[in-house]
Amino acid sequence: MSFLDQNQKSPSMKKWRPSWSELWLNNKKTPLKPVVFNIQLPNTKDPKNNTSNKTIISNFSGSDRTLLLNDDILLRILSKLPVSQRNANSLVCKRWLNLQGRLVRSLKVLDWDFIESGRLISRFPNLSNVDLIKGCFVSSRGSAVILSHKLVSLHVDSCFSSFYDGKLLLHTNIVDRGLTALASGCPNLRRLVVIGSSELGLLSVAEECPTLQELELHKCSDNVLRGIAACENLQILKLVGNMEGFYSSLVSDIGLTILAQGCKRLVKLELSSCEGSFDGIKAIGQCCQMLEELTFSDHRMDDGWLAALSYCENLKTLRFVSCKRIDPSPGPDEYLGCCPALERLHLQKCQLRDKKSVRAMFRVCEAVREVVFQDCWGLDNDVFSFASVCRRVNFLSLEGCSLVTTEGLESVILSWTELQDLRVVSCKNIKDGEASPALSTLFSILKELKWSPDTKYLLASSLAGTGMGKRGDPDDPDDPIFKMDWIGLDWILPLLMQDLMKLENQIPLPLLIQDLKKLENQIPYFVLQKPFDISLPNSVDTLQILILKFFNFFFKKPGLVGVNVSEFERKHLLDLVRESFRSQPLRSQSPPAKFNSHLIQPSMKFNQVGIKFETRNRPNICFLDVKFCNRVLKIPPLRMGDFITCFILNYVAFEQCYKHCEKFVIDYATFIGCLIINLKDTGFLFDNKIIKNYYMTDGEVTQSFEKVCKYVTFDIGKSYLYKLIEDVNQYYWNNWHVRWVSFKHTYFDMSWSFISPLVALILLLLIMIQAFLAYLAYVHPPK
Amino acid sequence: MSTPSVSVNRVLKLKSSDGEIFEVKQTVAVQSGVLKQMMEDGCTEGEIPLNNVDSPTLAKIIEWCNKHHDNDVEGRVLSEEREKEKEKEKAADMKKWESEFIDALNRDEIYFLLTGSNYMDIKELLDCAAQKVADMVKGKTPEAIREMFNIQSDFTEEEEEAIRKENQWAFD
Repeated sequence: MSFLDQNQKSPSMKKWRPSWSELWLNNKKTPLKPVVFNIQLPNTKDPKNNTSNKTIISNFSGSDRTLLLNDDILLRILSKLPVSQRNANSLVCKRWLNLQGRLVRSLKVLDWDFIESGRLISRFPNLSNVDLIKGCFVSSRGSAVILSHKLVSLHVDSCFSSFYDGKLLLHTNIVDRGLTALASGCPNLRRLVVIGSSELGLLSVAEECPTLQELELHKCSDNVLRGIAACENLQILKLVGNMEGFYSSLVSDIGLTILAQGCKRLVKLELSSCEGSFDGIKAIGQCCQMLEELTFSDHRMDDGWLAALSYCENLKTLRFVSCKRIDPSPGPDEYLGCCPALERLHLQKCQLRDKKSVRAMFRVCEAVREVVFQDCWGLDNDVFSFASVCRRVNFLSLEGCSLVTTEGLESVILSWTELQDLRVVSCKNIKDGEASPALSTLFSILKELKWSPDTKYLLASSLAGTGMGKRGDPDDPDDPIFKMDWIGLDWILPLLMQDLMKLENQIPLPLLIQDLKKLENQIPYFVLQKPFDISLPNSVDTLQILILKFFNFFFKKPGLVGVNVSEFERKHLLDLVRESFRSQPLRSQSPPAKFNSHLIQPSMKFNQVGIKFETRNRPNICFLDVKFCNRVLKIPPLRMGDFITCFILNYVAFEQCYKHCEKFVIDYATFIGCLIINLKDTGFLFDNKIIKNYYMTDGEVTQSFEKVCKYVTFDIGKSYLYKLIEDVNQYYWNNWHVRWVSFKHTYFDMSWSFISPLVALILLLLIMIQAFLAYLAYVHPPK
Repeated sequence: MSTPSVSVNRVLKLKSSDGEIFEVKQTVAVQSGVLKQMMEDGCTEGEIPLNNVDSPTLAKIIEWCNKHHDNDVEGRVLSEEREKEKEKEKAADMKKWESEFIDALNRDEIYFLLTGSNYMDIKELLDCAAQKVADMVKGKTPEAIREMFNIQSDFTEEEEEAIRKENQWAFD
């Protein structure tokens, strides 16, 4: 056969040997000859080959075993490994580094030098998905704290204030240089996320990477959009104009028009915090004929823009996310038009209070088939009724909209004849029992129904934004389980560390404090501790002392700081402050063997039996420290005001949540709550200077305690006030006291009324003397 | 040349690198991409030398192929749908057998199996063996990997340090 001759004729083929497996892998699809040729090739050097094979086997134990495997096999092995193994693999040897790099397709760059030095390209030549966001921030990776905003999250150290001065972002020129380097090295780039570049950087990307399909652009402005317009194949685009606290830039009609002229193949477009008006959207609608999905989040469009949506003829999905308004003055109905191909309308976290705009929106979306409301404010029955304009709806999902009632829902969905699928979740004004027969009939016709209007899902939803509660990626050792809202950490530490007096002039401190002690705003204590340790390693005071000082400033008590709270394992600020109260001498009695479960009486009744009320005015007294001795109930003065009500409310909530902790605030609140069940009681305590009112009426004070105590479980046996309550009750239920006091009340209360008992007494005495004398006269009659 | 046809009875003679000859049914051999190509091209007369595969490895490969062939001997001939159904039924059994098969091998045997199956283009076996090696590597430090494969690090200390730093700081 001919191939044997051929092979014998070509001894020079020898040098191919190291890679012949690759060679025939490449040739797999070519017809017969090359395949056979390649297989037979080693055969011609049979003796040599055999020996080499044997040597490999014999020396195998001592040599590099992976040399036996060609690149394809090794790549196959490496590709089966999880991402977490990536870094370890790259450190094995140069070959592994190289091969591992070839496998990486998607990457988040954290360090800009890595791009500029060209190392990124040389290590990862096959990148197709690059996220540069974190790299564009000048952030310190040394810190263990991650700040997370809606769109980005980054590591921070203790100098948080630098968010505002704009130095946090890399300079445009640097970003551009990096983009150019990246573009020249990664011609296959498909997805790119970048922040703060200029049109030059993007132009180079557009030129070098013709396959770029998806782009996410932060800090985008009109000029930058000129660069994007050059990316002809772009399909998915997300523009973020403004991010509160990080940066602000402007996307207007000009930019949108440029974009529309350039990127005619756009399929998905998301405009986040972009400005613009009718003209810009119209341009996009007219030029981007393939546009199927349009998302507006937190938009700042000029009034009247809504009418332009009708130009997007192929639009299938319209989404509004976090929009404070839709379009307050949409213009007359006849100009509104409608999107003929629209199938889905999603409204998430939008403010729908404005009837005009909602009405106009539904008019534009007349053809829609799927409507989703999620956590929308202001969606009441009237507003929701506008939805009945859409006749073709077959799917409705209503989630977290608390204003719509059963009637409101019913009136709309009964008018939708094509409805097949209904989801109602967590809408607290839609009641299970109120469904009318018509609605029940409708339910039976529906193909799918999810009906759980009163599910509580508070925790899950409030955690969703913060990233907490989500388990970290087990494959990624760097992934922090805790991310937090950046707003939180931004001010807490500086606040604690600096002189309070100085601060008071700069920021509305009471307001801040108000927020700080709310249970919902608490962040894990170690999140505070860590940056504190990093930023102030030599601080004289510990973090605890700082926090306590800070709070004491608001309790107007100078001396509390010295308490030793170090042994507590605390969860957050609130917990710490609470513990500091406990360390006051609150004698908690040993649990009694038997006890009656009487609560105490209101203060007016106590007054009737002669129990007096006094304020305890020692310095450093803790407001929880109540005493009863010698018919006097001594209560430290309570300064009622927003501060203390909020404080008590949150502590009660806290103690309810954590079962193990001692419930002294609950005890205290219940105690005071029992003392003041109506206005008179409050007024009475107020007269006794026990309650000091700061801008609250008696009614409000009573109400606030009533609210707190209503659902609290109070275990009298375990209360630190048990002894006191028992003493008071014992005194109260003793009849003698009552009689004596009512006697005193009747006869000695008014200044002149005591004369009548006095006269009666004198008369009594005189009568007795008279009787005695009469008796004496009878026994020893006078002689 | 003969027309490309795969008859049930025909037997291929495979010759390993150390000269041993194995007989394999064509229906079994069809799992190897290379042999299949050769059969279709009709050049399977005589011994087929497989110079990159030694006899113990070849024996293993043939064992694998036989097992997999047993599993779907009918499916290959009948319809694709049948094949899928059958595979679903026996997938669990097969997985078990595969893992036992692979676990029984020592490291060196696995490397030879890898090269052998790559050479003969048997994708399933290649995947299975590669997965086994990947499992061995998983969770190991660079040093442990080097030790396992007897790899000499060709980094200088500075280079290694630089890469270590990059891994830590430069990307996610």
